[in-house]
Amino acid sequence: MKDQRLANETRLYTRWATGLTLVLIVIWPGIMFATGFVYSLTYFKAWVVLAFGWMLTAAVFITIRPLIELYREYKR
Amino acid sequence: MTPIVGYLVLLVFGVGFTVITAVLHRMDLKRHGNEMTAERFNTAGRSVGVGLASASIVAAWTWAATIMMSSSTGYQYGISGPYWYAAGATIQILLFAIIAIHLKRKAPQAHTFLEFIAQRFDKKNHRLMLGFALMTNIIVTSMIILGGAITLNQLTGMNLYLAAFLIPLSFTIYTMIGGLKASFIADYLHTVILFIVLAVLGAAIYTKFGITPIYEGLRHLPESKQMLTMASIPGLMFGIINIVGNFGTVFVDQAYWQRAIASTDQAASKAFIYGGLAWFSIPFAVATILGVSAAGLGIDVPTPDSVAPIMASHALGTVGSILFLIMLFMAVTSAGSAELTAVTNILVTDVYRHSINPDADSETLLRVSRWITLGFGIAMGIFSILLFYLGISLGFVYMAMGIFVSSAVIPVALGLMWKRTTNEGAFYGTLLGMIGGILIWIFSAYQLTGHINVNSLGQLYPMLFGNLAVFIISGIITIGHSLTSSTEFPFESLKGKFKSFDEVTEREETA
Repeated sequence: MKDQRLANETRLYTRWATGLTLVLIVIWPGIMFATGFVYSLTYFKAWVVLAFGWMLTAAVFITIRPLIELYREYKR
Repeated sequence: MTPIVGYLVLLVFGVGFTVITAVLHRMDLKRHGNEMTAERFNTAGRSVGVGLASASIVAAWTWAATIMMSSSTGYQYGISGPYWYAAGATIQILLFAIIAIHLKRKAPQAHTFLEFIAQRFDKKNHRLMLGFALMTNIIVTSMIILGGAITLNQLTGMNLYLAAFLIPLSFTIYTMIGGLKASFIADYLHTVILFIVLAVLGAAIYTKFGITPIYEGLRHLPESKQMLTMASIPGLMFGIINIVGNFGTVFVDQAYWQRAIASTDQAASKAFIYGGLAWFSIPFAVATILGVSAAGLGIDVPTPDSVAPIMASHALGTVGSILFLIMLFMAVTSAGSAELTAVTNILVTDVYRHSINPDADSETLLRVSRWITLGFGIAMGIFSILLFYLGISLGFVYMAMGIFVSSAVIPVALGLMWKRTTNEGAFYGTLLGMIGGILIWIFSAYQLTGHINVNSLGQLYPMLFGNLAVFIISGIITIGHSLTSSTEFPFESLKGKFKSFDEVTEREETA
């Protein structure tokens, strides 16, 4: 039972990890490199919003998730 | 700022976290009757959930360099710098999710990756990998401390040697009390504070200066084409070195294995995926907010490395400087405490229990763990002071690190995932990979510049060739030898091979 679930999860996480890796270092920068796109003001603004928004999302996740887990643990 | 601010930050946060840890430790004992044992000290009870584990992965991977050097790349290369810094060092954490789940399947009871190596391979591999692991931890810890001490010194004028000694002390004490769990809780608080400061700095900079002037500034820089596009060759070169060079410091660093070991079965891999994606945002945002903006606003800096604190104080004055100092201190201490628990776990599991006192009981192991934590914390302080005397440069170590430690990456990862990996393949792959990498590094430095010195060795191309050679050589030898041999390692045989620190150890019948 447990072994079977872990075996399934191995496939799942292998896909996620390699997929995200490809996106981050090959696909995303590759497309932007190949097109040689030079940022316009709008695009630069979007880029800043992306950096800032990603950071805020990460901040909320990192702050809230452990608290939820702690709360669940104490309730039990 | 005056040196007093530096001492105050060290004192307030050092004492603060020690008190918080001691209180939580007490509460845990009273409410749950969770007595501290050697197993709990070194594995946090293997019960950590996704959230806390992700936070601690982010904390362990956020060094002073993550803030200082990423901003420097933003200032130098424009928007491609932060991206490559972030992506190039995120993928190792993401890929470690695969390692984490294999570890959970094959050796869920192991304490260190070396303990696994000792069962999976033979004695000589265990010794060699032990050397690599300790070397990695010592290099990383000294870089973290040096980075922190240099910045504290530059920002506040605080005495460099005293800073190098006090920084490890500020996290050694709470780690000594509460072990890995305390380190995790401190990591969480550190990461939250770091994110808050970063959000405040970002909001201040963009509301005060506006995005449009920054963009106009970047466009009118002489190298404007390079600053506003991802299609920048120097940016790409930096990206490749960053990707290759960072593998060793994740895969051979017990700190990350320890985060997999401390997590529950379901949490381990997820934590590395979430942690990686969350970590990505730190250098990406820091360097875009501080580094790229500083270039766009045309702020003069003595060296690109110091752009981050200068931009912070430019935006918010003294408050900005203090906020920046706190953010940096958070990064340094949580990464330092992660390394400290990693070394403690290695020395207890793979040296003390493996070779010195195999029958030690839980109490002895706990006492030894605490003494090692204290001893290594103080030793690293002294060692960092020594490095200052020798005048070893931080940037040089950061770049060269991969060449020294990365040859163990492929053998260790394959040993866990592939049953055909052989003893000889792993051993000689690791050893010759490092030797070959160093030779090619030195040779290419000589070919390109005509002489061998710290300067020529520190060039971009010799570093790149050296780093790539390490992977190619160790990979070919490990995989090649394993393919020629037909031995298959039965992973099921590992079951029951790893004993908890708390088990009443019966005297082992002679095997």
